[in-house]
Amino acid sequence: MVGESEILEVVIDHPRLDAAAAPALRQELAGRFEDRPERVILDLSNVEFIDSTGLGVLVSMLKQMGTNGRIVIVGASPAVQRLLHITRLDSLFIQCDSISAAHDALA
Amino acid sequence: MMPSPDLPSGISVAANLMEVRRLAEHLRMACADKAIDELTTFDCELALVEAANNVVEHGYQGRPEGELTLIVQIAGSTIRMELLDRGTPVPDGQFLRCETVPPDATHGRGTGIIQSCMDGIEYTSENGLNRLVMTKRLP
Repeated sequence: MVGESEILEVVIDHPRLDAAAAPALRQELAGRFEDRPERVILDLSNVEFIDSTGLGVLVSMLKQMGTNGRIVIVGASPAVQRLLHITRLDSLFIQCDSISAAHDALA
Repeated sequence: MMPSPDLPSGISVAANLMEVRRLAEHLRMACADKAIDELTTFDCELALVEAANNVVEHGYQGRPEGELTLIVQIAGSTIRMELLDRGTPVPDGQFLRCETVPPDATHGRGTGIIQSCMDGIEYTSENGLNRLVMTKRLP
C-alpha cells in the first residue's frame, strides 16, 4: 500500500518499450499502480528504445493516478528524450538526472 | 568484384510485433555500417517501427500469414527505407494528414511521429502491394 506521502519508485527493466513489450509492461505496472500512488519516480535507465505504444502505457499509468498524479522520469536516454520531445509529452512527464533530484522535484 | 557499399539491403519477416524488432535491428546495422549518428538512427528506427506496427496491427490485423519486407538504402546524403506489405492499405492521405492528439491520449501518435522523424513520405498501393517509402536527409 502506498500512502499519500510516499513516493513510489519503479525501475523499468525492458530495454525496448515497444508494442511487443507493451502487454507485459502494462501488466507489471498495473500491479504497482494498484493503490493509485500520486507521486512516482520512473527509472528508465535500462530503456534503450521506446515507441508510441510504450509511451502510451506510461500515459495510461499517469491517467490512472488521477488529476494529482505526477511521474518523474529518471535516466531517460537520448531516444526516450527525443520521443518525449516529438510528442510534446515532455511537458507531461518531469525529467530529472538522478533519483535524489526526482525526490526533490516531487517534494 | 566488391559489392557497392551503397547497394540497398533487404529483409522479410512475418508480420508480428516481435518480428518488427528484426526489421529495426536490420536498419540499425545498416546505419552502423555507414557510421550514421545515434539520433538520426533513432529517428529512422522510430519511424520504421511505428509504420511496421501499424501494418501488423491494422494492415494484417493479426493474421499470421502476413509478411513485411524492408529495403534500406543509404546513399549520398539520404537514408531511404521502403516498407512493403500485402495487408489492408492505409486510408488515402493518412501519411499527409496533420492530426492533433490530446496529451492524455494513449494511442494515435504513430503517423505524427513518422512525419516528425522523416523528411519524405510516399505511400502507394497497387495490385495488393502496399509500399511506404520514407526518406531522411543526413545531417
